[in-house]
Amino acid sequence: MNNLLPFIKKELKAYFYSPIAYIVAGVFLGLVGYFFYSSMQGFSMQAVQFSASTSEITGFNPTNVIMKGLFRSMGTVFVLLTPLITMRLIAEEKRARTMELLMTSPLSIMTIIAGKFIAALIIYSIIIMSTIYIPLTIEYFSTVSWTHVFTGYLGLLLIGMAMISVGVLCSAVTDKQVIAAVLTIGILVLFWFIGGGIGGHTENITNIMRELSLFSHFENLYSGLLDTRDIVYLLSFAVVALFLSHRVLESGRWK
Amino acid sequence: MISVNNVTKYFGDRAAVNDVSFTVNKGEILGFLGPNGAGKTTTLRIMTGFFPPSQGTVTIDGQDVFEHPYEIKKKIGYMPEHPPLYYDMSARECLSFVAEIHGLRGSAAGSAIRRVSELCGITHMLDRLTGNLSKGYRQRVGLAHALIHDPAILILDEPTSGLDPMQIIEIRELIKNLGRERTVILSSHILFEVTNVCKRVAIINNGRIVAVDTIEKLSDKFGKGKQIVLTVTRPERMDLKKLSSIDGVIDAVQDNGGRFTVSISGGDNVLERISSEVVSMQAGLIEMKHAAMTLEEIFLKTVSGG
Ligand SMILES: Nc1ncnc2c1ncn2[C@@H]1O[C@H](COP(=O)(O)OP(=O)(O)OP(=O)(O)O)[C@@H](O)[C@H]1O
Ligand SMILES: [Mg+2]
Repeated sequence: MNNLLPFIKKELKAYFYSPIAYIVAGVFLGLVGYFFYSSMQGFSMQAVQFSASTSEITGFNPTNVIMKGLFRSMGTVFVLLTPLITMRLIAEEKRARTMELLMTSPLSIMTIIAGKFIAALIIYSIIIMSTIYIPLTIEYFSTVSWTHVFTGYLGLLLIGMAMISVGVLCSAVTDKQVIAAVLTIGILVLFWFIGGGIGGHTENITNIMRELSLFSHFENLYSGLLDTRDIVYLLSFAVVALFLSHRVLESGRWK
Repeated sequence: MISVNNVTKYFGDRAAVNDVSFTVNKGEILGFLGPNGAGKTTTLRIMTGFFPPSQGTVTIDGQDVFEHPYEIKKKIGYMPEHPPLYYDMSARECLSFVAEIHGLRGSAAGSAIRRVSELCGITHMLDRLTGNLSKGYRQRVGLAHALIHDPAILILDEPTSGLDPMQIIEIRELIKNLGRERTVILSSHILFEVTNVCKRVAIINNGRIVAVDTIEKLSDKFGKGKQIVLTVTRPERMDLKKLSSIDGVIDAVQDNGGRFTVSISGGDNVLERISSEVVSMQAGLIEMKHAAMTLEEIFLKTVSGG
């Protein structure tokens, strides 16, 4: 495990040398910037309408109206972008046969998986955190609930961990990046919409599906509600996927 | 000392390596020979801990490779058949990554990189992307990877494949030098290559070891006492029928001009009879020697099961 840091360093280098991370960041920030712009417009129009009415409107504040929607969009956009960040992680080492170097070096499979997961999470966090200008801008013009903002970013971090671990797993089963990406998208879309868009035959099944859904556990967090059950679920989801990745690499040696 | 004990490796239900056993003594350079697909790479991968054998064990200095992966992997420098390089990193970055995962940091890593790049002759290529290097230089960077932690054991899988003749000579000299204080296992299907470098060879074919011995002993075993080469100045006077009828001679053939090969069974008395017969033919006998087989011939013989 004391080889973890140099390993993460190498992984980060690989991200900085390849265009994919820049493209993902560019597309993400462009989309989120556009969403921010349009929700600002929407908000100010509503604000003008509401100012004419006399009754108090609950929940009508910039954090709830703008940030909540943006957090949700950021999560959804990353359902499609995470696979692009994670697809090369293990598949490319297999294709380039550098896996042979790693597996014959004094590195454990655990270090390899942890290093790759952490490096991808760092890239993801950098991209996510570069949207911090949004609450800062709102704060400049109005006021923002920083606890809600914090909870929202925590939510993004946690679903990021869950999504990246799925990406690591899919990248471990193949030596082709495209296959890894498609598998990851498939699994993430399923776990995102399960219990919501994708329902069950009965109420009970739909409820169970909702419990399994990544989105429904993200929902509370981006709405500003901190619930340990959501945190525990998302963390366990990541741990299980990483554990499976370990199994995949380990059992691959025995074939 | 490295010992490979009854190692078998299945891919699906095909055994790529079947009941392979041999030992490598400390400080020796062992040639590991076999035609394409014989199982060389598979055997070396098992020895380096890349994957476990289906059956059998590999021990290095008494430690099992799969029970003590860390200790073993620190002792071994392995150069795979395809040099594992990150093509979007420079040679220096690749080397420093490999140095770091071997626990070398800071100035220790720096001096290790300097040492191996001088050794492998890549100092002037260090800042190029490995993806842009020629095959020969990629091979050298791969070798530098294997040497970075100054391992006691070097395992090289076809280190000279794809190099030009000059580079082959250079790398061969380098391996010879490295072998002075290290145990080296060198796989190849080019026999000429190992004749100069190794004293002992293991020959594998179809996943099975067919011979392990020193080159001299192997050529003895397959050559000496079986074939005699005669050189005469007047070949027209040689009577092959008469030669063949000598007690102990199996067969006599003319190779070319004054050179004849006589297959015999028996010892010095047969040789004496042959020489006196040739002298009495007045063929002008100028040379008579055992036909020492070249490695190529041994190889063909063992591989073809002869
Ligand atoms: N990962 C694998 N899966 C299935 N079969 C394999 C695998 N690796 C090797 N083989 C098979 O095992 C046999 C031995 O292969 P190996 O690579 O060890 O040969 P080699 O002696 O190194 O050959 P070469 O001189 O061509 O490098 C071959 O028939 C090969 O097709
Ligand atoms: Mg091979």
